[in-house]
Amino acid sequence: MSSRSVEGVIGPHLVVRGRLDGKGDLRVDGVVEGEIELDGALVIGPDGTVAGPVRASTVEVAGEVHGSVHADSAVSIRAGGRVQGDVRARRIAIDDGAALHGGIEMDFEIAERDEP
Amino acid sequence: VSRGSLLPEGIALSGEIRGQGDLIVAGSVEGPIQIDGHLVIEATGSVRGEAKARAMVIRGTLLGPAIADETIRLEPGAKMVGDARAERVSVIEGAMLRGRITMTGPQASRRTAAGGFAAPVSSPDDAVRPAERAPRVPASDSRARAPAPIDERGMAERAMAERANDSRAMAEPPIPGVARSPARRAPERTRAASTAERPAEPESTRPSTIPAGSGALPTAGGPGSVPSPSIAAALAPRVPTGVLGASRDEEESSGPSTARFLRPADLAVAVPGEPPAAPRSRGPRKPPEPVIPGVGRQRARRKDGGGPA
Repeated sequence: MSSRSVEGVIGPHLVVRGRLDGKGDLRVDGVVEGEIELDGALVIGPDGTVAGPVRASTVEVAGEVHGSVHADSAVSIRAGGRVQGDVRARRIAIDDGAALHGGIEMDFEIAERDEP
Repeated sequence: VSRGSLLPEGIALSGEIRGQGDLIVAGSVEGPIQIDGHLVIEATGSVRGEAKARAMVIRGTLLGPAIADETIRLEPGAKMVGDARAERVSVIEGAMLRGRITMTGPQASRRTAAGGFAAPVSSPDDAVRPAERAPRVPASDSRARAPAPIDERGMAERAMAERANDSRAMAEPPIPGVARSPARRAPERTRAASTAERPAEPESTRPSTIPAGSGALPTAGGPGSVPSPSIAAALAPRVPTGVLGASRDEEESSGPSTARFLRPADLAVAVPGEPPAAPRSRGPRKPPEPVIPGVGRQRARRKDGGGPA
């Protein structure tokens, strides 16, 4: 739908408390205190902060996340981004300059023979 | 939309939103919203909870009270259950509302007169305010002059007022829907205003302070000029108008409500002609007056019959 193509924005200086969920893309430039669960892309801008677990199709963190980050496909933590919590996704990219305190869990399989 | 926020369709929040900037809600929010900018609830949007903002435009659903510093505007498609409180509240035909409307008006008009708020921060609903204001100016003019007892005079004055309006109008974009309401008010209040009896609002201190007579003259002099006390005086009368909504409890007014708002405009014509009744003390009047058209008429009658007597 048209709505989906539109990116939701939590602007700077805005504080959202509670649970956010639904379909669509969302960009957080403000503060979200609570859980986010999206069927779509989640971007946490450089000034954005999320305190709570986050789950989305893809997650890009340039700001701060205090809580676990779970993406169906990919998580990327950009330079300047900070994550305090576990990160789980199929693909995870952590740029130089990013900070991560927590574990990483990527879903993949290793065949025994592949191992050296 | 640098400082704006958007909760798109398809996304739901259960929780609260607070902060600065504008917000457009096209999704759903279950919880209170409090922002210092404009709040727009789009047709697809729904909010369950108290909404507070500087100004509000509602095209979707709001279940809960709405409180705005400046304006609340219910547009067609809006469904609101709750009380609306703002300096100015407008309901466009096609909007559904169940609740009370409280307008805390005078200040708004003054500011307008002063021109201080002419240009609100850019946001989707900017248009709303200018429109609302534009109409008022004319009203004030007519009012200021309205005191003149004679019909003819009234007409002439009105004409002048209109001219004045035009000039002002240019500055401020006129909005059709909103424009009328002021007009109707102006007439009613003409006399009352001069007497300085604003029924309801204590807040409206200033209007009473200003002598009605002085107000009238200056206004005529220069529409575009400085927001002199005269203008303020002229505007003051409206205050009561704003109060109208207070008593409208539990009315379900969709199309009808709008009609009510606008209809009074018609009345306006008749009123100006009336002789400047003796300044009856309107103060005592009960603050909350029904928005219903019928009421407005009653008032008018009172003036005619009761006032002079």
